[in-house]
Amino acid sequence: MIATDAPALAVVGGRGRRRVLHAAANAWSALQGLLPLIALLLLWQALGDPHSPYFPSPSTWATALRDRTSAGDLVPAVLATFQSVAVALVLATVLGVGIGGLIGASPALARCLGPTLEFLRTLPPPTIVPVAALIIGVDEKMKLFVIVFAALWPVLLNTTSGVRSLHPTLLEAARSLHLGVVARVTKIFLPALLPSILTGVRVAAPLAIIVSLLAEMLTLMPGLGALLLMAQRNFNAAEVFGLLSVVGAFGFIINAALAAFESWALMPQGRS
Amino acid sequence: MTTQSAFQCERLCIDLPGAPGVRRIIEDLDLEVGRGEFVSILGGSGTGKTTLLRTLAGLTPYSSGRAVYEGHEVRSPAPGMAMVFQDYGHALLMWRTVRRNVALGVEGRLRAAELDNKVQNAIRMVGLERFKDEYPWRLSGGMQQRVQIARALAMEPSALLMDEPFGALDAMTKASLQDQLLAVQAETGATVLFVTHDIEEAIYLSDTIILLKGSPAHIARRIRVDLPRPRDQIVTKELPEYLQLRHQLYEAFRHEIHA
Ligand SMILES: Nc1ncnc2c1ncn2[C@@H]1O[C@H](COP(=O)(O)OP(=O)(O)OP(=O)(O)O)[C@@H](O)[C@H]1O
Ligand SMILES: [Mg+2]
Repeated sequence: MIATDAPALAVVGGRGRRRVLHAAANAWSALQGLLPLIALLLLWQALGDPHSPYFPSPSTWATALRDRTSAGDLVPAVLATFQSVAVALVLATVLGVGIGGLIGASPALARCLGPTLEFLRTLPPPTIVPVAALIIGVDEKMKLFVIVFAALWPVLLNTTSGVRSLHPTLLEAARSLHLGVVARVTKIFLPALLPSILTGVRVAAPLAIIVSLLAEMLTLMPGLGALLLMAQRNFNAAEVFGLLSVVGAFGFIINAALAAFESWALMPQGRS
Repeated sequence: MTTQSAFQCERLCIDLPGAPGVRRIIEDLDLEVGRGEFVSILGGSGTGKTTLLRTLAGLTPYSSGRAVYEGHEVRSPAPGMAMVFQDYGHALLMWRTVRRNVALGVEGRLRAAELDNKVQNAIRMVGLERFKDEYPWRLSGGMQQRVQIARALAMEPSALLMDEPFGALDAMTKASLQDQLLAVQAETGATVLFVTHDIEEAIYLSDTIILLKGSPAHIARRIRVDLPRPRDQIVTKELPEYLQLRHQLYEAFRHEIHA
């Protein structure tokens, strides 16, 4: 993967490029894994019936999507869903790292918050939607709340166990170097926890997408979920399949972007 | 040479939690270390050398008695003190390059040029210039330990606490770092507390050797090393006084092992 001839790496400027290349290579290998799916779609196109009411062939999906786009629905829907997912993931990460970090660092806090969090965590996010809609109303805030509620847990739990598995010597080294609280958090804790946090975010991302689509379907707020539900209600199978592939690509791209970011960010730690 | 004391322990007791309950590791230990003195702590494995050092470093609390550094009771890492840990693998930040690891203890307080200067200097002292932009996880164990030593030296400490710092090194590197350490100490006048289980290393480096023994541990011997300085790996080790100390300590250790 990476050459071990140490001094050669010490060239200034070379490191940044290497890290980018490394991340790009990872993304490419992920794309290669898509080849079977592409082959399947091509086969479907070649053998399928374009007029089938249930299984229209892929070219009709494209037409349906083009119609949606020219009607001005598709792009705003993708952007709306993306915005909710992205903002909610950021919020979930900040909250999860904050709360998870405190719980990991303080056994007392873990004891008094633990059972409550455990209870909240087991509530299925879909069941939150009606409650949140009732209390907050049907708006963007409610959608964010529901997504954050679902995406929070993986980040939180990973951060907590990450803090607990930090080696005591690392923390003592920080103390004996007379680092203040802020320096300890930014220079020691966050970088040391980065692998745990990013693993949590990667687990959280698909959850955030699922719950976002679900909230859109249940409330018909703008987004891919709402479009999908409408298409189904209109018995437009080509559009349903078309939107489904958009959703699939959407999730795939977000996941691949996170994976690339992870391997770029963890490169200095030798863990990617 | 030493007029005032840097460290003082009076009837120091240290307890650590163990499986059957609290266990006394160090009992009623009296110790005085003068400013600028080089003191080695010798003892068998598990006697409590690390524990004693950590207490003096302000990392492990003590149960009774007193531990004083420069007139203040040690409760937390005191300013001017730097510690080199036994397990270097966990003491370094694996996501920082050698240079930025070495800078860690001083980077907040200095201007860029001054910082750079200090860091370069410390890295040169341990002979890692070629690897200053490398990550620690790509270095050998001995090199990682040298990074840790450089990080402590960059702080220009008035007291340097080292826990078996050269344990992971080959004989050649070890000898050269011993000489580096003596040179740095002669130059800065730092007080050094040095834990080791290498008898010859202890004699070569120290002004005083204390021998820990027993469970709970106490100071079994306190040996003054009056070999002339600067010391030399060949000449010093051929002096009759050196050989006599060596004999005496191996003898003491033999009793320890058979006890
Ligand atoms: N974190 C800890 N908690 C409880 N007991 C400990 C802890 N660390 C060490 N001990 C106990 O304290 C005693 C002294 O340990 P210490 O690490 O000080 O020995 P040492 O002299 O440094 O040995 P070595 O030469 O092997 O490093 C040991 O018996 C050990 O079981
Ligand atoms: Mg030890």
